[in-house]
Amino acid sequence: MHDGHRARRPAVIAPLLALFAMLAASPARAVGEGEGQDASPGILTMGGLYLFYNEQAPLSFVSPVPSELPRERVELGEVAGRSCQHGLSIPTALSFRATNVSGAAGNGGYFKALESIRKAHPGIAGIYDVRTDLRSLSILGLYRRLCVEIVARGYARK
Amino acid sequence: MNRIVPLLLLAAALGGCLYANISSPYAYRSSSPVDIKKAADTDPLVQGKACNQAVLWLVAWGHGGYIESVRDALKDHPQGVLYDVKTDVKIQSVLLGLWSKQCTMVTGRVGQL
Repeated sequence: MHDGHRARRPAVIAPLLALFAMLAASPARAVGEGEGQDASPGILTMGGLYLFYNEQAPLSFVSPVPSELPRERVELGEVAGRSCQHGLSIPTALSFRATNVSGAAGNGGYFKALESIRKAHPGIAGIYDVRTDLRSLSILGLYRRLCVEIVARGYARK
Repeated sequence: MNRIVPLLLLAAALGGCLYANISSPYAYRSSSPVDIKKAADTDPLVQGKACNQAVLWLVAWGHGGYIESVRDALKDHPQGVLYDVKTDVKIQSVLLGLWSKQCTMVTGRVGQL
């Protein structure tokens, strides 16, 4: 009888471990860029029943490359800006199957991130060599924050 | 094993993560040789790497996006600009994801404007 129990255990654990391996794959996923030309919005999703939702998220931004810049310019060096969306998700019961009620808000799009660069550098005319990341923070799955972070080179007109 | 299963169930109940603070690559419009004044085959070829890591499906951290990856590539050429850029993603996982690491790797030549 004991031997029979031992034989069945791995059969239960293996699918469980496979399930967790799939769950673990989510943080290792690149977001946003695909093979095609379709824009992919960086929207914060909380799941469950939304009580409130008011978000602005990055969609697309065609930044200039150096050959498209004015010749007469002053280099400002590296500039950075960011904007964020915030979300809360609260379980309605202490159960694995409990439905969550959630809410999300924030202006986390390109426009606000670029505005933050303009505020920090009032004389800036534009940016190039733009690198954009999505910074994701999650605490117990209850609070989430998704920020678009921009680092670029700035220039001003002469 | 008896100690691990409740931990795994907790991870599943919380959607796979207790705490995560990671960066993902989103967009990078890099320069081409046309954009560089004197692009040459002798321009240094550099590679940068930035990673996110996850342990036990519970905790994830890192700056694995383009920003840190390009910074790493240009660490020896702070005034340079990357052009002819190729980006790869590298994923390593051990024991069904007990430990996993995802890196954004940027390779390109360093030019001057």
